[in-house]
Amino acid sequence: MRKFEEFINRKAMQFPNSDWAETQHELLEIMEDKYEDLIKSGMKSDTAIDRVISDFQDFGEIYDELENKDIRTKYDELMDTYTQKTFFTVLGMFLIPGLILVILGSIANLMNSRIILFWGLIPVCTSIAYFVYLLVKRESIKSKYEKILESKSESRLRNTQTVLICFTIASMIVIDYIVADSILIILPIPIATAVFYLIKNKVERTL
Amino acid sequence: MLSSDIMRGYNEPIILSILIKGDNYGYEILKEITSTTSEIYSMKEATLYAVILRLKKRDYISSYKGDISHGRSRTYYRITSKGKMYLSEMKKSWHETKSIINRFLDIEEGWQ
Repeated sequence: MRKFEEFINRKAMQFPNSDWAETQHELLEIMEDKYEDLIKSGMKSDTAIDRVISDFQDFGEIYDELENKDIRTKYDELMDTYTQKTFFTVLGMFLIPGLILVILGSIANLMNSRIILFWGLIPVCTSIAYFVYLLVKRESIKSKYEKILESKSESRLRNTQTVLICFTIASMIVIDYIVADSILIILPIPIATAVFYLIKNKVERTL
Repeated sequence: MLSSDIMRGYNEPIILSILIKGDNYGYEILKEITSTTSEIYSMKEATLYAVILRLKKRDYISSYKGDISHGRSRTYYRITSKGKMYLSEMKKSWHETKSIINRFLDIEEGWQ
């Protein structure tokens, strides 16, 4: 019914980001069923329409549910994006600067000058800076949303894990830089850690 | 008429207990609640839909489109196995709550 659709559309404008299509359809069904029931009981059409709309005026509880759903969806999407970005940055931090260091190491041996190795600091520092930026950004999003989603204890646990992993990876980079040849030995450790962390977060979120 | 504040905590198991008898659609669930309680308690439409959204979000119920009748299709809700487990937990919780309140209000167990 047109009047019910207009009413629902007016309500929908107050939260445009919601997954509204399904909700709108289901609400319309309830409104139309109620209208038909009132008509069957002998009520006039206009009075029945007014009654149905007035019974649906209090949208507070529905808003709460929809808003909560929106926040959860947005939070999950952001966390997935930043987890993936962090994961690929961790991979990049070892593969690209490591490769550059190995190449520079060979050139340094050929030229018999270790000073050339300092050029390797540029990609290493850039990677670390980007990795730290991603972690900070991810943590700020987490704390912002988890305050609303009330899962602070879980957040604290994940923060500790992130700090530990960050420390391990930073240590690996330092060792990697000091002894460039060790890259092939230590490479699987941070990758395995990052994969484990990624899978663990995914599993926790689906539970 | 019962206060909706008192009933709020039990809206979810009420809806699940209707759906465990068979799949049903929104307005029929409302009517079932009103008739089962002999009109002592009637849930508001907005409350019903908010609870349905919450139950769907927690995977306690699922929805599907029914056959078209009177020119439109209806959305039916079905309880999931997770929803059945939750309902049985809520039944246990209700027995405990009832027993505690009865003790404070000096009502003997089994009193109707």
